[in-house]
Amino acid sequence: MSLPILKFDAVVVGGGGAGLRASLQLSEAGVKTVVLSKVFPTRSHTAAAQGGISASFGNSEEDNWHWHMYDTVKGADWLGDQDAIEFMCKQATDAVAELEHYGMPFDRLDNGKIYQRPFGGHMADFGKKPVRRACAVADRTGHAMLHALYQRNVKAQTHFFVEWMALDLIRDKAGDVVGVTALEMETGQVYIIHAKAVLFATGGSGRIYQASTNAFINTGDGVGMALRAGLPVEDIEFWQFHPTGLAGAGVLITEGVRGEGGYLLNANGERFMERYAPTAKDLASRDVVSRAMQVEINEGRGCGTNKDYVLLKLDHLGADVIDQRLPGIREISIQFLGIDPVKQPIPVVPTCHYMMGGIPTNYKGEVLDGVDEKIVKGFYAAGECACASVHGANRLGTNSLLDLVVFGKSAGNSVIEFVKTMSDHKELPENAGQYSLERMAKLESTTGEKVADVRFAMQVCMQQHASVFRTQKVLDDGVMKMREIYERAKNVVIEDKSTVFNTARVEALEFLNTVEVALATMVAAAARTESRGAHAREDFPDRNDEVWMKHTLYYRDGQKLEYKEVHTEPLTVDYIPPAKRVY
Amino acid sequence: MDYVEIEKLKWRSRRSMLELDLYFERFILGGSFSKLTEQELIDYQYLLTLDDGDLLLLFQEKEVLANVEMQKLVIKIVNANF
Repeated sequence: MSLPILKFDAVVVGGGGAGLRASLQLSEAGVKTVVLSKVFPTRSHTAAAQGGISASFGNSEEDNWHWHMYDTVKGADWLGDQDAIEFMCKQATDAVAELEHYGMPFDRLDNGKIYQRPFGGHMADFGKKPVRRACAVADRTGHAMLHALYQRNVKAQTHFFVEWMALDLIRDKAGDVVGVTALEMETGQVYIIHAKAVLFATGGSGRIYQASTNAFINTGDGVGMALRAGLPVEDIEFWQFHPTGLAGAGVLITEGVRGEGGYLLNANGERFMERYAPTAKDLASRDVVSRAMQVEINEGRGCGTNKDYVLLKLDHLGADVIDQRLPGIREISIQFLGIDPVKQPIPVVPTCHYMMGGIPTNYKGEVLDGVDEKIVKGFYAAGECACASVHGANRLGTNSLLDLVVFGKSAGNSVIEFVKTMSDHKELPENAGQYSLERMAKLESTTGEKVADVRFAMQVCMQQHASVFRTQKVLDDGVMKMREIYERAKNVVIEDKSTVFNTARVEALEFLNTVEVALATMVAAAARTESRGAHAREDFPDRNDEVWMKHTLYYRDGQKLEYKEVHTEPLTVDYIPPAKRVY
Repeated sequence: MDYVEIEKLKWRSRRSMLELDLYFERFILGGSFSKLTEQELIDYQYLLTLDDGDLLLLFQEKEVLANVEMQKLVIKIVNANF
């Protein structure tokens, strides 16, 4: 069956911060570019980012990019590539200034300069004291960024295909990327987008976990497509968790609750953090609190019918303190759980927040294959779906928005240079698109499992076996269970076979991406026998640089793992050698 | 509205923030969405054109819409399943 073909110089998959920054760079350079987006671009998950974007302007106090680089290397627990980290931190001030020129209304100081606020892990003078580095637009920084970039793209005449979902990468015999297949939801028609270059900016995949702060659109589509196309995913075992997400909902309950005197209880009514952190108690660092909570749950001291959450008690603070100092908490708890925290404690669980790993790239946004980092011609990635790798084993707050714009632009520039070298499109392989059609047809089989059932099994398995409490046994059991779930995922079917705006089909296709990310995470996590950043092993509590200061590469074919060296040569400055990560 | 238009509304209820996804999911999966009148569907369509930050303020009852019927719909969405 032949599919309709649409030709562009470049196709950008994903309309969030990274995708829009990349497409802007391309369109302004005259590269005929289309952005495919499942939702209207300004409703991409970037809009949920509130905190800010880091850049060492030093508007309120002395700061410079060397310090920012040091903080990022340290935050990454020395798993970040120092060339990429230098590139990002050095570019940060220009990137933010550009956004300002695009119309982003940053908060201001009285002297007219951009206001900056402190943020966890951002320090002055190589880790000596906190520094104000985060630039923000009130609590809507991501939202303002998306609007500014979208408007600028419209002006630059970027083409937008909204409510389109990319299905698969198209690679030719040489392994070069020559396009994607994509589903237009409105008609149900599958197209081939034939392009000189493909740039993925598809965001994260937090929906692999039962408890996640991620919006429903974060289904790891780019990573799933890359894996199916035979490419590896890097450092996918590293996921950032927040200790207090509402159980069953995922909505974050700010650390401010514990700062105001709230504390955690297990099913016995015990304030268990006193056992795990006798001094800091409930105000210990995020990873310590998260692991303690999970231990309580794993050892049967969780609350509720399924004993799968603990309680955050704040009723003793009184209604006045809760209403005045913790605005929004009461509404969130009442609206999503029907629980008024003035009267009852709130059920909470450690909740997935951010994917540090992704499609391997260099700092130019070029996708890399294998331990020898061979460039995949025609393929680029940026943002959360990519692993440059600047966040390494743990991302610093406000570095995510920075990552989007710096590497979105950088990848865009690389595409521009690549497209210049091509007089015409490379030929499409024979039967391009057939694979996608077969995958879609399989969903319409008469017998099979419901997507929702298998997805739920995956999310429960990931939460129990690959969240914040990791031991060899927990992970090995998880690998076994995830492999079974992965097999079940091959047989999911949809009841609604209609073509036009069939959201069940879209959700099934999303799930087939998500489950790839889930299995990759479990397999990679089980193999890494050390603790580093967000990957905390109870049975291997220390970082082991001698053996494990290396990037994981996971391949779908045979669920194979390889390891490649961390880049230890920054672009212009001296290497920052490993040290103990203490704050 | 025909079937396709209604499916579009459901898809467009997917938003940038988890909180909004949860409000809309409860409203749709809980059965309240399917009981909307034609006029309410048109109002719902309008709500989906709002920025997510503004929608969140409405759903958290920190802002109120001047249009009484539209505000009633907001309350319906917030109170779905309760």
